[in-house]
Amino acid sequence: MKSLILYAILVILTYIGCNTADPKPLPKLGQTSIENGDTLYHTVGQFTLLNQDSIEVVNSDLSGYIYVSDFFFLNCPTICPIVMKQMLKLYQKYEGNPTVKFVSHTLDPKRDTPSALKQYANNLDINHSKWLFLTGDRDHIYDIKDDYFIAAMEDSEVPGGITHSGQIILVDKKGHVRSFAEGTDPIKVEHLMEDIDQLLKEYESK
Amino acid sequence: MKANKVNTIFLILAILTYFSCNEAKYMQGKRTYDMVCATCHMQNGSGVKNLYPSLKPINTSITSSELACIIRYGVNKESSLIKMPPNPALETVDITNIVNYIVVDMNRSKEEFTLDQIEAMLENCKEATVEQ
Repeated sequence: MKSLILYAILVILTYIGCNTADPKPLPKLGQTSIENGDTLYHTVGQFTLLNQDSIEVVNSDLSGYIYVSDFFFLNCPTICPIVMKQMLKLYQKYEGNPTVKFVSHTLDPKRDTPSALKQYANNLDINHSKWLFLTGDRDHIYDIKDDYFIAAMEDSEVPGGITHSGQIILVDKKGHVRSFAEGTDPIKVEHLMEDIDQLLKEYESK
Repeated sequence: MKANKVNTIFLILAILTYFSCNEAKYMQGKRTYDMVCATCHMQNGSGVKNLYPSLKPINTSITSSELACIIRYGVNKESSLIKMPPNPALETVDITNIVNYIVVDMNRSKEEFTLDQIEAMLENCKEATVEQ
């Protein structure tokens, strides 16, 4: 009898052990809706923006890539440099992976023109086709940020004039938001790195 | 047995010396640095590429008096993409502590500065700023 219980425990443990080798896929974040019996997941809405080379970028330019995204602005004296350092860390890790892109949006399009963003990107010493710096119509950018669950608003009381959240967002090949991390927290960014690896594996096994 | 005890004492002494060496000499400077400078130049002084210059190691062409002036008045060159804001709230004593923290603790310089020396440096850059 006793040995039977032992065997039962062994089987259960083995089962659990097997399962951890194949982790649950990352969730598709945001609200879902049901249409004609199909579940529709939240996706990043249609956007038309300009990159650092003044070339138009739309959603389809990013389909087929997973991308790491954030919102910032050049004259941001508070959290942006810290978040940018973490973005750079992620960039350096996935620089050689053709499936991964990086997309930084400015929240200050008036001052952050494509040429200013180009100069900024040059100073970061990055590949311009791999890391896009996007600007465009102010209202359009502030609409898009909602799709990435970013909070931002203009506030003349705060240093730099814009208050915003510093999350780094992971988007999959179909525009679903799959994970995010507080960009000022290096440990949370490490976890995001694990999620990026997991998402890449998800596509590899397909 | 006795030799063992002596050994232990020396070991503890060595460990203590090691830790005291590693601690910043200019703790007050470090505190102010962490509050005022670290957001851009990073807590460890590494900066971010060419955007926010590294302070550890610091560009050797920057003199200590330039450093003091930059901390107080910022950098507002036409050519620089990101302008460093001035820090009018910092007293001369704060600036002295930050300069010493950067040059002595971060860059292992033997030279450290007194309050009077930094005061004199700041007098000079005040004139330079007015001239512009």
